[in-house]
Parts: sequence; structure tokens; C-alpha cells
Amino acid sequence: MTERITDKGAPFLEVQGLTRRFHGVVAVNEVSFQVQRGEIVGLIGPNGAGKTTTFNLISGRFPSNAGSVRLQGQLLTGLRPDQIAACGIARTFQGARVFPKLSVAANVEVGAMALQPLGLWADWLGGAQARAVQEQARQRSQEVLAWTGLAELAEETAGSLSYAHQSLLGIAIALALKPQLLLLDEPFAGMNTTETQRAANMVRRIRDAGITVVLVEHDVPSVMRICDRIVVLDQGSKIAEGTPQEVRAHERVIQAYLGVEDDA
Amino acid sequence: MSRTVLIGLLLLGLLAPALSDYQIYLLTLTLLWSILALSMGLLLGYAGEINFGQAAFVGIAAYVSTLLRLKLGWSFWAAAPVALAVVVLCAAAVGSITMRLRGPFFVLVMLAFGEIVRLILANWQEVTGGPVGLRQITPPEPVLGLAFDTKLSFFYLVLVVLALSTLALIALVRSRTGRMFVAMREDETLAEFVGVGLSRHKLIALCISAFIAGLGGLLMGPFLTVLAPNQFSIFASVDMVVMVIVGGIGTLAGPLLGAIFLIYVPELLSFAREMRPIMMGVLLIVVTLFLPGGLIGGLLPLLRRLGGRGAARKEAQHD
Repeated sequence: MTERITDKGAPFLEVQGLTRRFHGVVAVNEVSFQVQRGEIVGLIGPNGAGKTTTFNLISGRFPSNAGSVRLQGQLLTGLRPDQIAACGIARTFQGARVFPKLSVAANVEVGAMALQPLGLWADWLGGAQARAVQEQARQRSQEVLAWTGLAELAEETAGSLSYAHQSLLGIAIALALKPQLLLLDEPFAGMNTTETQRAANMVRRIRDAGITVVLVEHDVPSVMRICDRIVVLDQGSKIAEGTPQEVRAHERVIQAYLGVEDDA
Repeated sequence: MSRTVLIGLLLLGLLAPALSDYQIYLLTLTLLWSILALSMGLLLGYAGEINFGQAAFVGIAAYVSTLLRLKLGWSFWAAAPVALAVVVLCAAAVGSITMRLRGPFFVLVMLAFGEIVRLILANWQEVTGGPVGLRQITPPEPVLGLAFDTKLSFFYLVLVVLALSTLALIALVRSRTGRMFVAMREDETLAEFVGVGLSRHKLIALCISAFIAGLGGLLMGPFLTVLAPNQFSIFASVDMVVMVIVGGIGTLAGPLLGAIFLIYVPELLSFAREMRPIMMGVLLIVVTLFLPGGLIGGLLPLLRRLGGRGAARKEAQHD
């Protein structure tokens, strides 16, 4: 579907001069970076650097004051979040958002169903097309739950899961959309070492499955380990970009952020 | 559970000929309010929007259909679709403005909308008859060989409308659209980011809810034989909200149970009319404190034990 509008020459994700002010405070200041298809890119920086705001601007949570976001050449600026999701971008949230009263399986089914083309009347009358959409969503949900290791919890109520499991479920919901680009907002927050390790492996597997990943994360060692490239923000501006080795050696990064983390 | 409701309505229909005129009157009133509660049940329980202007939709349908009959001499059956179209158009118009807004704006605008409609009904003397309202509203004209001039036949009409509305809403809440409503209710932000168009879905919920409320409104005039603006004040909307919460929010059987509990039971026990608001307040507090799932939430485990096997459990998860 997206092939039609794909500009083969354009970068996969192109963020250009993105700027957002909140009551005069510049949260994101002319941030530009590109992501190639199949990369894992980390967005790091000290607290208040504008990482999550950048995510929110890309995914349409609020409008930018200036700049543009393009996915395969298609301009996303000004679209609503559900429209951006339809363009192939899924995201997770800090603090693991799920649909608390629904079962784990139903949570993922929502993600699998929402974007399927189906008219209101066909849906309401429950004909073959409507049944197919629901059946496909059930299958997709089973696939994704098996893939994320949540299959045994399928019938549990999402709100009763542990934080780590809810976080994983957030990723599963996003994956159910079959996105081309997945934005993960602090996927390792609140996880212990083993859980982080497992989640990091999953991020790699997601990339290996053909989904490009951009993640915001505080856990710098994990980011260094799994990311192909890293973009460093400080006080709303991009101060460095490159491979983990390059970023680690970058003087301004050391000053702004990494200097305090000797082992990083 | 939904099947239980339909079986209950069927039994009621079979039982009706044996009942007294007073019982039929009371049951008709209860079923009429069940339709209104059902309309609120969809909006509040599934889409998660509380609407204190819901009674205005009932009023618009009641007045438009009755005025077409009284002033232009239309039959009930010709006036009904026009009145319903007007209601849905009003819902679409006010909804397309308010549904873009987040938080309390929807509640406030709908509250204002409800009051504006009531004030128009009360003050547009030449057309609506002002505070006195409309009188001598006749039963629906015979159609397809069926007459509705007796209490019993009108009761059956209301019963059929309620049963069909319930069936339509059962299909709706099981459809993708219904499940998107629930996703919105559970977490609006997450729903939007997985691709649920919020304004569109809220607008759909409001229009369908207004349509069902309009069905109730159509039957109101012929049933009561009089219409007055005060029947459609915010208190009527609050009544619907209370029925949904007391009966069980997020279910379709709940609103019906709520209507039985708040219309049939008090009337049957001949409570003084002025005691009703107090009773409703107390009931609301008791239910929210001790039965967060409403009466239906208290009944479900019982039904399950009575041999519902997996059915009741599955239903509970759906809700």
C-alpha cells in the first residue's frame, strides 16, 4: 500500500529542523537526523534534553512549531496520530500504556484491528468481511504474543500484569500494527538486568524481522550495546550523532552527559 | 447475558396478556426508559462519554414527530423517520464540534445543548405550545394490519423497539467499531496511536446513541398523550446516567436492569413520587461504594453458578 508513495531515493525517516516551544521554553530546537531502513537508532541525552518530545512530534502527539518529518519521502507533519500510525509508524509510551481492563489478547487485537479497512455498516452487520477482520486480528494477536513471549498470559487482564510484562505488552500492541518503524520510549525503564537483557534481545529480533527501530533510553550501556547509531540531544539541540564508538569519543557528549558515566 | 435479556423480553411478551392494565402501563413505562437507558449505556459504558444533554435527543424526536402529526397531519410512521433523521443530524452537528475537544468540554457543551433545546421547547410558544406543551397525542396509526390503540398493543410496540435496539447494540459492541469504543474508553491516547480515529469513533457513538434515544422519544408522545419541555430537562439525562451506573456500566443488560430498578420497583412499591430523587441518590452512593460493577456485576457470579458455564464468564471479559 505504501509502495505507491515511496520515494526510493528518499531516506527512510527524515527529521528536518524539528522545533517545539512550550510557553517560550524551547524543548526541541531545530533537530535534524535521518534513519535508514533496518537500523536501530538510539536517542539519548540528559533529563529534559527533548528526547520524548521529539518522539511526540514524530508520532503526532502534538504539532511542531517548525520543521518536518518524512517517512520514505511522505510528509507526516500535520497528520493526526492515527493517520501517522496508518503510514506505518507505531510507538510505545513511557510507563507502559495498555488497555487495563481488557485481556492481554484483546489488547493486541485492538492494535491488529484498528487500521484494517472496514466500513461502519459492513462492520456492524457482521458479514464475511467483518468476521475476517476479527479472525485475522485473533491470529495476529496469537502470533505477536507467541513472538513476545506473552502467550501464556493471553487470558490475563492487562492491568494485573507486572510492570515489565505491561511494558512488553505495549511493544506487542505496537507490533500488531505491522509497522515499518517502531518508536520505543524507554523500553527498559523499571526492568532488572535480566529483563533488560531479554528486552534488548527482542529489540534486535524486531529489527531482524524488518522493522526499523528508534528508541529513547536512559540506560546508556544498553543503548550502546544494541544501537547501530546514536543521536545525542542536550537542552533540545542535537549535539552529536554517530556510531556508539564515535558518540562515546565525542567531546561535547562527554561534557554534557557521558562524563558522569565512567563505564559507558 | 445479552441472550438472557432477550429471553426475558420474550417471556415478558408472552406473559403480558395475562397482566392488568396498570401492570401493562408500568411495564411500558419501564421499557420506554430502558430504551433511553440503553442509549446512555452505549455512550457512557462503551465510548466512555457522559452526556447530560441526552434528554434533548429524546425531546427533539418526541416534538418533531408529534408536531408533524398534529400540525401537518402526517401519520406516526411517516413522521418517525423524519424525526429520527433530525435527531441524528443534530447529534452529528453538535458532536462534530464537541468531539474534537478533550476533557470536560464535551460534557459542558452537551449540558448547554440540552438546556438550549429545553428552552426552545419552552419558549417557542407558537410551535411547541410553550411550557404547557402538546396535548391529545393519539396512538400510532394502524400499520401492516396492526393497531396500536390498546395499552397492550402499544406495550408490544415498545417491547419490539427495545428488543431490536438491544439486538442492534449487541451486534455493535461485538463489532470492530464497538471494540474500538472500549479501547478509547480504556486509554484514549493509546487508542489513537494504534490507529483509532478518536473524533470519528466518538461521533459514531454519539449519533447511534442519539438514534436510540430518538426511538424512545418517538414513543413518548403516544404513550403519555402529552409532551412538555420539563420532561426533557437535565434531570431526565441524569436519570439515564443513574440507571446505567446502578444497573452496570459497560454492559447492555445493565441499563435495562437499572431502568427496572429505578422505574418499575419504586412505582410498584408505591413510593411517594417526591421520595424518588433521594432514593436515587442513596442507591447511586451504595452502588458505587459496594457494587462497582452495578447490579449486573452482583448478579453475574450468581448467573454463572446457575449453569451459565463459560458463557457468563466470557461475557464478563467482554465487558
